[in-house]
Amino acid sequence: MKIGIIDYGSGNIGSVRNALHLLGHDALLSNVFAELKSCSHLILPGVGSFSGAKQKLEMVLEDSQVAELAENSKAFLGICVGMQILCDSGNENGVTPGYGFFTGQVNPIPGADILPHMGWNNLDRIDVASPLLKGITEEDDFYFVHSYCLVGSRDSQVISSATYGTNFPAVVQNENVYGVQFHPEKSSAAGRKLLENFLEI
Amino acid sequence: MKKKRIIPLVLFRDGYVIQARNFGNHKRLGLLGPTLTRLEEWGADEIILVNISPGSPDAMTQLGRTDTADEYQYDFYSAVKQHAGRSSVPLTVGGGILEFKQAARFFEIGADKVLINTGFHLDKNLVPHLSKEFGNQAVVLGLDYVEIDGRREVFSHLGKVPTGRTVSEVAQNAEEYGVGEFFLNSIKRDGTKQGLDLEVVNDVHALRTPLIICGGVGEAKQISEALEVDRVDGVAAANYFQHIENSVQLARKSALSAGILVRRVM
Repeated sequence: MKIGIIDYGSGNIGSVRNALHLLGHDALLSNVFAELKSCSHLILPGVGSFSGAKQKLEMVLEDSQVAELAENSKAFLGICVGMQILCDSGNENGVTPGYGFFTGQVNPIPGADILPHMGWNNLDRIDVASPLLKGITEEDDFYFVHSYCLVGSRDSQVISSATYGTNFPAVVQNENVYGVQFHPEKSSAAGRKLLENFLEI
Repeated sequence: MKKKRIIPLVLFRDGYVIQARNFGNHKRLGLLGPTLTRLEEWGADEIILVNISPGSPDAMTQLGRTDTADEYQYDFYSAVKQHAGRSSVPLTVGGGILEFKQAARFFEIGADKVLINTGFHLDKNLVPHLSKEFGNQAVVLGLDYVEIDGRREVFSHLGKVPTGRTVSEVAQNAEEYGVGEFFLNSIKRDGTKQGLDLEVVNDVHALRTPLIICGGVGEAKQISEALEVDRVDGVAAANYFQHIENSVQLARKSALSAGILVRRVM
């Protein structure tokens, strides 16, 4: 197993690397396609805006390269805005196309009065068959920090949701490509469990 | 459902964790590393770490101790760097962050959010710049205030300089620029154990940014009473979490018995 964290200038890659380190794993931090290609497990972090993250990623990887990395890895995980840019599109300042792995648009969280959605929240409708969510229950809280969420998702791709303002997809999966809206690297024991599950895929 | 948050505030001065009362009367408590480890083991939902050392934020301190595994001489930045890698709950870092590049350095070493207080008043471009680069959610607006007859005036420079502006004015201004949270701290109640200023929510009730309040916690019940207030998202406390054994757990237990949704930590 070789773990790679895509270092494209968005997302606290240090935190992700540290979380993996606490689990006993080393990860390669890189933005070089050839290096990332050699990894079995890839993580795409991301914070800030959809368009900002997409722009930064485009500066280091072609769309086709992102697609290739996602498709050829054993498992590929987008975190927070990293998950969002893997969706069809984002509506922040106009429409920004995403990488299209997950059906739907990224919109401001419907029905939320206080933004961002900042803090611990639990998952519901957990698809127990998914390897990523093995051993995770509705009692587990994860740390969310976002003002936008996926809407118009495809049911078959949503393996867990959470509630804030509305019920929104918290964990999505399209074959070997996964996305989590929360930050597992900052979610204590529950987050570690999820990361361990990811590495076991 | 979203949970309310219990947040230890750790004050760092010249190499040590300190306690305070009305922002003064600093007394040394212990070393940073063991303090942060303990708080995380106790189940803190997140930690706010503030450097209140006088002088340069890069000042080094010689602790002159040989009994610890921590380096005997370090500055705040190195202290954060040492700890951030070991933390698995969010860490907010602040104290003397007046320039963009200072904040950027902290993000690089693993801070999740930066707390901007005096910096907000000195440079009106600081918060917009930070929010644009790192996202709103990474910037916490810290306001220390003195309440007199229901009017809450914001003070900068560790409570020493009156800004002439009220909490509601500054908070509104900051929300327009884009911040992730408000961290409102009552100078009068700091260290007094008389309980939190719950009325402060009135000053921000029309705003949409999550609210953390601080200042005056002496017992768990005060924390859960504050968490019961709809507008309050999190409660922070400094001395309480340093002096009372298992205080994070006590606060959590008190909140759960009152039926407040907080994270359950085994």
